[in-house]
Amino acid sequence: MSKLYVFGIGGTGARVLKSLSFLLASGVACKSDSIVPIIIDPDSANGDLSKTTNILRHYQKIRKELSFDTSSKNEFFKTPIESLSPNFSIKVQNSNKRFKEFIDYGTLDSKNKALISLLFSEKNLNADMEVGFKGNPNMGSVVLNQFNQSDDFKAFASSFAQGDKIFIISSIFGGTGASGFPLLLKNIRSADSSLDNFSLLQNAQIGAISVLPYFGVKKDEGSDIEKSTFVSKTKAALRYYQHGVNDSVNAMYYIGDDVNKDYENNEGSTAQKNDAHFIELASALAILNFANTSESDENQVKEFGIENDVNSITFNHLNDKTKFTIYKPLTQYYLFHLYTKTKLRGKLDMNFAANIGINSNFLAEDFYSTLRGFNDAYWQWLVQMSKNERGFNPFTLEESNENVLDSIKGIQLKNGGFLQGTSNYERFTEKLNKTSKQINKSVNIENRFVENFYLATENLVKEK
Amino acid sequence: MAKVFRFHDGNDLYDWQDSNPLNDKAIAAIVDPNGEHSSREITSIPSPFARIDLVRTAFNVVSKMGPEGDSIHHKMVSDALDIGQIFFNYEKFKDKIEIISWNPRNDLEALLNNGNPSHKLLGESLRLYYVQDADNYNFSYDSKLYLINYKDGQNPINIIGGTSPASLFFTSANTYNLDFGDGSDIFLDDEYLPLQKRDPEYIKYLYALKESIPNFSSKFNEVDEYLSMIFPLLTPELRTSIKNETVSFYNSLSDLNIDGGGEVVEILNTPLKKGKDKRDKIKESNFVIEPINNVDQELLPLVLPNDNFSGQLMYVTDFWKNTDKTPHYDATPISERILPFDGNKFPYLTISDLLEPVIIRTEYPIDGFYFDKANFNGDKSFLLPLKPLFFKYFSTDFLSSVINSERVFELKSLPAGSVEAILRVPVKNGNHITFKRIYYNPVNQSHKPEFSELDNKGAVIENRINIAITPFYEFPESIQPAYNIAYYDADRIPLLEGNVFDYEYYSSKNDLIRNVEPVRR
Repeated sequence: MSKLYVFGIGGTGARVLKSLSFLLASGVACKSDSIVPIIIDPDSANGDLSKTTNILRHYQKIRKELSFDTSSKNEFFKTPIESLSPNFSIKVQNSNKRFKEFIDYGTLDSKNKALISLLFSEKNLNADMEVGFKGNPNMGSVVLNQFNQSDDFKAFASSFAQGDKIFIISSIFGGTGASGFPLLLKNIRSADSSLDNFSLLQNAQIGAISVLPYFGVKKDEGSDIEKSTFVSKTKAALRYYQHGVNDSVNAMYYIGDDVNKDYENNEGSTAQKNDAHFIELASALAILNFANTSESDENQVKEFGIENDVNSITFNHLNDKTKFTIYKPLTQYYLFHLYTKTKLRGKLDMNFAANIGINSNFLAEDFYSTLRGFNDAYWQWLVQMSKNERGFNPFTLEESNENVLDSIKGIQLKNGGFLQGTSNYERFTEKLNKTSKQINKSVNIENRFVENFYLATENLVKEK
Repeated sequence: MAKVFRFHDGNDLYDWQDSNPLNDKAIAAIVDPNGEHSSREITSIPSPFARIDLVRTAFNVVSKMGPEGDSIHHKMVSDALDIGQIFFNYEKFKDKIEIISWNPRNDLEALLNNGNPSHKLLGESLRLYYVQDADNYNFSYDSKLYLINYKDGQNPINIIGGTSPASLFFTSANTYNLDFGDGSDIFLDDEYLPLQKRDPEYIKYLYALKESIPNFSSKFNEVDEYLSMIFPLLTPELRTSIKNETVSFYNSLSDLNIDGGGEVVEILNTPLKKGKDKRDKIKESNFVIEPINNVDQELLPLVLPNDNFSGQLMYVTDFWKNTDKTPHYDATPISERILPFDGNKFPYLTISDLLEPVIIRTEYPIDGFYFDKANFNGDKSFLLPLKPLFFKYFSTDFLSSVINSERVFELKSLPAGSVEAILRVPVKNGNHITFKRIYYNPVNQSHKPEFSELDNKGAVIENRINIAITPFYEFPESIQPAYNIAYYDADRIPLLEGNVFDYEYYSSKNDLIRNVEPVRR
């Protein structure tokens, strides 16, 4: 049993974990036996964070009802997501203070006070940290350094086993992610001997993605976050990484995009809810790339490319390998969502429903409503990515359009037509009816339901 | 064509594919939409020692961009060089600053073990990075950092900079309004000064330090590159001097100690040095007074302009800035004075050392046959408002002579009875400094004269007085001359009632003649 511990640091970390959840839900392959997401963010009110936590919880709730034995062909939700703590997080405390209070600057002895006064500006010292570090990761490197005292971190160390891997997600141009990453890395690489498995940790396979700027923020004179400094900050941090980070990481993934959109300028907290972005999806793919690559002694560096430099990316603009990885799963899940959202309620009299034993009671049950909630979030994720810049826009994303098999841009699914049989949702229903017969009746209804949709959508996507 | 999601140019690649590490070259190739000219402080180094990293990087960036510029990197380099210069000229600034040492062994331990959990957390972070990034920044438990506290700053503690094991010196990200600098350059201000424009002694010292710190070019690679870039920009004399005598120069300087005590200030265990007293250098300033009299004095004072000055004269390490004006008055004894816009202790003269604040007008014109009227013609005359100090350096005859086609001293009539005194004081190389003071005529004789040496504002007072000297002999050298001086006071207006007059007598060599017995009749 190998696990992949995925640390998501700060807002970007949370958003990439969200993308990872959707990729795993749709069945994108992951060779690790399970994923353990761990969020590190002192800004516990962060909107992105609570969104991600909800999605992870829903994923777990759905996954709990499903089983994946040899008779099952379903890939939806195949990879288990585990949690070390109820909120998938390592608690970072005392961050509602000003930095100078946090370090108790006032009572420092004169020499240490002198050093701190030189290392940290007055602005640093007076900064309120409730909303992250506002682009001052030097403060973060002190405030976030609570791993040694953290029970969550101890629990992580205790559960870490031979063959497990670690992946760390962070953005380089912000505050929390940029500081949390080297700090966490240093804490793992110099794991204290009082921790369980400290030696395993010191030598663990660690992958990391450093997300370079991919969005801007609107100009706001009152905010400490300024887009125009993103690149200079990135360069400064990259220079630090050269010596302070790169040698300690087995595989370093870099990504960023200069085509970008200005988000609302929020210094964190509940208001920080940025729309999903293709870069986060690609970053989630980096996690899977790391999970699916065998161990290496070399320090690898990886970057991400697609075939065409376009503002609105569809499957055909991706490289074949990327397309192979995500086209089928994302499309299957897209079709799954559309059918359940718009059709299922009216199709309970069809054969497949009888075959797998679902009726209106099933639709009222907790499992189904959780799934529907999760799928709505999936849809929302696709919509946000399509509208962002650069956009990821492989689907037409029209819920009410009956021509569902025409809704993958640049790719035509086999769609009946003259002398070719039924089209669109009729065809979909037909596939459900057909595949429902293959399903093992001895498994529970949730398995039967998901498997039926997996097989039917697979049929639709595979058919040429 | 592939689109790779990165900011620098490189090979096409697809999906997640192996690439090259983001090294200096790749990072340099990342185009900053602001150029490198962003003036905002960069804050994104994820380490408590971020400032040390940033200043080192600044030397690297400036070495590539060129020494002159207004980017944040140029600021950081200029500020770091300022800090080095403050250490070098510690003697000059010791009233304003103190040096504090930080010992990683003791002080970090103190932080970790003082029982305060907040300090422990801070100490653990400092230790984590100090240890793990040791190779990167030359951190060592065996070498201390030395910090400069600016004592006159607005906070109880104002650390403006310190030594850095990665870039020799570094600064804080705060802004300070310092009131001191070198020459016309104020330290840590908004004008960034590259090394080649600084005091040659300091320049030489940095190159000497480079030769004296073992493995300098690997340990201080970025500063080394900077020094290499600057070297061709130095004067040929300085280059020769650096080539031939850096080590002997370094050894000739005395170690910099904390507060004169035993602790030597070091960078990676190499002592920093103190610059030599600047007095020899200042003695060569173009502003040194050029006396007529033989003056037996080790330090001749400088004569510094109190008004806009158009000439190009060398001050201490730099040319005098034309708009710089010295104060009209300095209460400090001349020998204790601090040179304005420089900070070195060295005597200099203000206008008020030479000109009186009040000028005495006589009721009738003075007889020009016997007395110097300073070119003033009218139905009244003025006693020359010169202070005795002037005659220490110059003779009475000199007053009527001409310097650069103008009279050394003259009085000019102004409207409403006011008068302007103009004194041209010779300095080195045939140049002169002009002092001007207007003496304002009071509204009427019953007004007390108002004057201010601080504001260079003189006043006229009219006295009905008379002085007579007898005999009119030319005494031979062998005879000790004896004169009778008669003073007649005919003032009768209330304002002048009760005036007390005091007299001092000087020889032609400006020696005070003592033991003169007055007789009142």
